Amino acid sequence: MKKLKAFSSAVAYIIIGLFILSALFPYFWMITCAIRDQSDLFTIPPKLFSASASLENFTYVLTRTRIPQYMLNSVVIAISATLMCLVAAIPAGYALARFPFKGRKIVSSGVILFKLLPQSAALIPLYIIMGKLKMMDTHFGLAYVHLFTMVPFAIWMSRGFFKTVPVAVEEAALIDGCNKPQALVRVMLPITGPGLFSVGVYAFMLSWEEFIFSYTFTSSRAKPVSVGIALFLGEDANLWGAVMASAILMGIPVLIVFFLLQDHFIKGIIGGAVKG
Amino acid sequence: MLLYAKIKRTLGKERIIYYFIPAMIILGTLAVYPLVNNVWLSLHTKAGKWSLGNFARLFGDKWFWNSMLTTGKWMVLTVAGELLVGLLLANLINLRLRGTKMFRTLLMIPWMTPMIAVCTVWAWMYNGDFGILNHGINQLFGSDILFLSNPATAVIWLSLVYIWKRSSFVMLMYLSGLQGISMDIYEACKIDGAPWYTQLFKVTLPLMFPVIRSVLLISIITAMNQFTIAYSITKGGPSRSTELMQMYIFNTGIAGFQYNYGAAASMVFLIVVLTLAVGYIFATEKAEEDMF
Repeated sequence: MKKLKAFSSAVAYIIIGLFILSALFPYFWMITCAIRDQSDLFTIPPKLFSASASLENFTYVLTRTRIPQYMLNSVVIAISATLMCLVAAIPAGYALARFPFKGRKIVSSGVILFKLLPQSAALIPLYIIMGKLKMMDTHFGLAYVHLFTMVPFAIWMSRGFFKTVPVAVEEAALIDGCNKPQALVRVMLPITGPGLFSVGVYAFMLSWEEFIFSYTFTSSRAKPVSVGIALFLGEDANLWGAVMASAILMGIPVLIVFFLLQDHFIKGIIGGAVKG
Repeated sequence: MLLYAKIKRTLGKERIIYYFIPAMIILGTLAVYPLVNNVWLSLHTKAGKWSLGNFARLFGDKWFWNSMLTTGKWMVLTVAGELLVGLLLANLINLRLRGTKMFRTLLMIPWMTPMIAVCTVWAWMYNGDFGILNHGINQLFGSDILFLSNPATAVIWLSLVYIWKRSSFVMLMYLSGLQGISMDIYEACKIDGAPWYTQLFKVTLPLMFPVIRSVLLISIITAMNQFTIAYSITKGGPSRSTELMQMYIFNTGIAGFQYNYGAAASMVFLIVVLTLAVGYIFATEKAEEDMF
């Protein structure tokens, strides 16, 4: 029996190991291709390991392309979208978690429904309106339309975090003379701070990687990095090393933040997806 | 000062709707109004005359049906793939072997990476001339696979990217379900001498059913709403074999400037997604009742 157990856990380790290997191989390939010379990139057969190592591709991306400008656009857009998103989502999530009002179930279902809407359903009308309002290719315009996906998600996540706080905490605040908005600001926000911070970061990431709206509503001035990289990828010039380098530049900040906040993310995102 | 007092007095009453006003403004302008406008657009001609012509033309358009079929194929492939891989991974992680937390973190890296960054490296790995995957297959089996240039199979290889990226998310959803099952039940099984298959079919699967149902529905909807992978890696090609529905809408409505026609296509697509979404909402509400 003991032997059997040791054997089956060895099998489990091997299977997990294989999955981890296939999850990580593209990153290995991305990084090694980004730091090799152009001449080592286009060999037949391709070399798994390359002798050359240089940061040439990174300096090329940072100095000779518009990727840095697009990154800056993305930062501006994602920060302003995140701020607007939190202002809208936190009170709504709080009310959904706390007030037993009539029609709460319908409102909750409505939020989920918004979360699942395909972006294409609003794409064409928004394109027409944005054109009329002269919001096309502006940072604010793009930040605002990004809220389409961000707000429902953030409402749902923050609702989950507010639900984890015992009602007694808030009642204590009310007895001590707070009104409900004060209880939210002075008591609930500090307690749920880390959770709500992760809501903000997740919202930021949704904006950072958003593609279909960004592609439709920008042409040059406000173009974010996701679109910049996609167009870079589509060019005929065989700059694969530089494409990999720019993908790394876009992905690394996100992954670092994820490692720092993963427990909050997992709680916040999964919590709402299966249990309603 | 008077205004301030008035605001304070009204806020003092704590009308719940105030908490929703910012969200209502945003979703009203970004979702509700555009959806209504979309219905209007789809039912009018370019000149603004009422007509059902857009839908008549749409149902006769073979490329529309091509996109529907491609989306269907894409959905079946990705959902089956991510559900199977996710379920397997969840069960492995749930064995609680040493190092499980690290494994989970490593497995989740693809899910957290921005989609477009993922697409670039897969496009490069699938590259027909210099791609590492083609080379690897060639070394192992002595023949080439035309990953992205064969219209019959391109959608399969694209779905692999999606499965690779999203399986760990499905794993997490399953895990939250698995860990919700009380260990007492398994201990009772052990005492009664129930073999592993009885445990699986009589305990784990029935208790997991609500979770599996929710995961299935949300995976279907998320898969159907995908756009970036196909647009950035294949641009819908070769010969429009990877043109997913959202891409068809983009290509006709935005790139082709046929607002009314594209609106009609997006209406049909929206109805399909909404039907599934309503099913999901009922399922999660049911799951909540089942669990608590």
